[in-house]
Amino acid sequence: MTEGKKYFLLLNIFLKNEMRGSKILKNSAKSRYYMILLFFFYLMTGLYFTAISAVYSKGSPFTFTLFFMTILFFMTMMLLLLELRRFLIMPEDSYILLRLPIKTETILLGKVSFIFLYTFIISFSMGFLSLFAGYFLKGGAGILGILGMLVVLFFNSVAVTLIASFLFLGIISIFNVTKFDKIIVYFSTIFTIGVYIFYVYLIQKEISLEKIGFTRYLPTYYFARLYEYIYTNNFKDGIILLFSIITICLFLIFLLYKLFSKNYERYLKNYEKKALNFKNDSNIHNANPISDLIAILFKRERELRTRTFSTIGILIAFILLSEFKIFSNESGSSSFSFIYFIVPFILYIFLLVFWNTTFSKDYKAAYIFKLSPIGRGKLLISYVDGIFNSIYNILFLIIGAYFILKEGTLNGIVLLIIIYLLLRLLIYLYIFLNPTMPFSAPFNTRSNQIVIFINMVLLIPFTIFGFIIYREFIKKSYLIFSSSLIFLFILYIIIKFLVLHKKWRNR
Amino acid sequence: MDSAIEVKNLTKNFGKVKAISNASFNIERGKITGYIGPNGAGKTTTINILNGIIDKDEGEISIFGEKYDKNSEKFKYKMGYVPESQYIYQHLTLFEYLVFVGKIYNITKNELREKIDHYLDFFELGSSKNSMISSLSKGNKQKLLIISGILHDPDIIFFDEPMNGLDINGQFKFKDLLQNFKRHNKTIVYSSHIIEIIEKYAEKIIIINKGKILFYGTIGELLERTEKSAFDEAFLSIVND
Repeated sequence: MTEGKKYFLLLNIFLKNEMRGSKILKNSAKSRYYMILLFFFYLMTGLYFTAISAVYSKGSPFTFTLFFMTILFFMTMMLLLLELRRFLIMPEDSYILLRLPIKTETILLGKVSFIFLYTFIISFSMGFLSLFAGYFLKGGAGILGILGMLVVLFFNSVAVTLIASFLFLGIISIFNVTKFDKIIVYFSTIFTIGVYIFYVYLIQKEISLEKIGFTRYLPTYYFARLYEYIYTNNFKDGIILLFSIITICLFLIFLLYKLFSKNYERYLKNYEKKALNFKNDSNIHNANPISDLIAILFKRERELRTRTFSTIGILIAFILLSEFKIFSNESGSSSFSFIYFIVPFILYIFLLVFWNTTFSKDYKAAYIFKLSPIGRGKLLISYVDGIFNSIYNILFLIIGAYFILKEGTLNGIVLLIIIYLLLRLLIYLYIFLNPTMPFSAPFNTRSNQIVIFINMVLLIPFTIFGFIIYREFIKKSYLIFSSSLIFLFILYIIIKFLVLHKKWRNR
Repeated sequence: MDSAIEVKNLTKNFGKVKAISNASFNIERGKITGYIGPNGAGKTTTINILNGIIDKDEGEISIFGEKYDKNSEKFKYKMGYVPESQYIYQHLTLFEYLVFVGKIYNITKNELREKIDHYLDFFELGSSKNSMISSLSKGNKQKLLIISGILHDPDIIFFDEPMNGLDINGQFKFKDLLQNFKRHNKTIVYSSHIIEIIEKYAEKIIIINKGKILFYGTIGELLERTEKSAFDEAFLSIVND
């Protein structure tokens, strides 16, 4: 069998395994709801970005594409960097693929192609509404606009895949994989804050993205130019640019193939030892069965989840921005800080909690937790956690009722949520910072990716959207955000009780 | 002596840990060789090196008289491996997984279908053909691993604790399979902690401990050397020496 055929076989296997693993291809009611919600989530995110980009671009096809694609580029890049390790290196790959007559280069290309398809599906879902951007940009281009945006979405995904793969393989060539995990999580937090601040700054100061020098070094600049050429029927320049982009992509694929396949092989071959070490390190999976027991007693089954990195990052960003008011025109205005930093923050956290309690894929870890013995110093925190999950919510409702009475309904609810979330965050923060200390618990680093991704996805659009709304409807913005909150809460309740609750308990 | 595998001065370190230290041995063609040793002795590491899953640090390996090149695919067609660890793509069906493995080994479509059906029926997995691997029990996953390791009819088969998780029926089936391989002159390297199996089936044994080969020969030779009357006593005597 030729390597080409093996490549397609591999790609097929990777896609099936991942899509089914992510519950996307499973033929069950749960997976259908999951898929619908996921698609809805991406579509809504795309809608935000499209709307923001359209307002920001003031009808210019180039500015629109540059702005939109740059957001998409960084978002998908972030997602990929967080997921790459899982995508590129699976223990299954070491055991199954290395013993089979397949070249490592073919495995790597199969993996990268799979990652590209994954990225493209997400980009397409988020960029779906941007396909119709031509209908509201200057000199509407109709079908050409759709085609142009499709081409740009395709190349944007190629660029993200290649750059992320280079980064990943480059980092693991220098550092080991444990360091990679740490580096990438820190990086993602800083990166999220950075992009967040940058976009807020850009919109607030009304700075045009194309006038910033470094954008010329971003591939999105050239994709935007390509879209502009297609949009304006400038086929001569369009074909030259398209040809250049294709050449660069092919060159990068060749470079990846030649430069990193040996590293990739080396890494796959070392995986076994690392996997075994991980398996043997019982501390990693040390558990809080008492917490589970208490939670079950109180009809709650949530094990402690410590998905804190992104949360801490956003918390720091929020504190910094609020404290220094660096972007505040209305210096000293508390409503400004409240609307632009606290409300998006709340919405983000709410979705985080929603995701953790509804769609978490960590039930295998929970299973391990239940089987593991109780370690020293874990008993008390187990109780605290169990009680926290069970009784605190009731206590919290009482506090909430007091706030509502004192501050009015809306202010009371908002205040309630802030205090609830901040207290929870503080506890997670303590656990995260002191995993071996008394009253703490070991934390599991797996599957943080989707939460951090949601962080990225939600924080930026909500904030930018907030800025846009603020200028025109100062008072209404408050209502819109509050309505969004209520809408999300209703959505949460519906999905939790009607669709997922029984199935989650049975799995 | 006709060697299927010759290993000379094989060394592998994991950081400061010496997993295999200067190991030399031969695996005879057409025979079942028991590769035994305590936990962490270096058995799986040796087998993983021979199957190209990890790289050796030093030493030479020959397969059927030819110098083993990890990048050469022809050796992989000759070898089959049933690993101890149950790492399989969980979200494929049994059939999809076996078709994938079979196609990679260049088995023709009809032959592959026949073989898959034959082995699935043999291990009583026919009704689970289109089930997800994730839904299988540990024992059934082990059966799947066995099938995927022998599907391409290799000349040399490495079994690393192949009976892990198998029920009594599965164990009988596996023993039948082993007898069948013996009749067809397949070279088997059988790594296990279960002394009884090794005693019953292995024609030669290799004992490894702390990365060093302690004994190579027949069980009779081992008993003679250790002056013990039982195989398990002789094994312990060599390991604890």
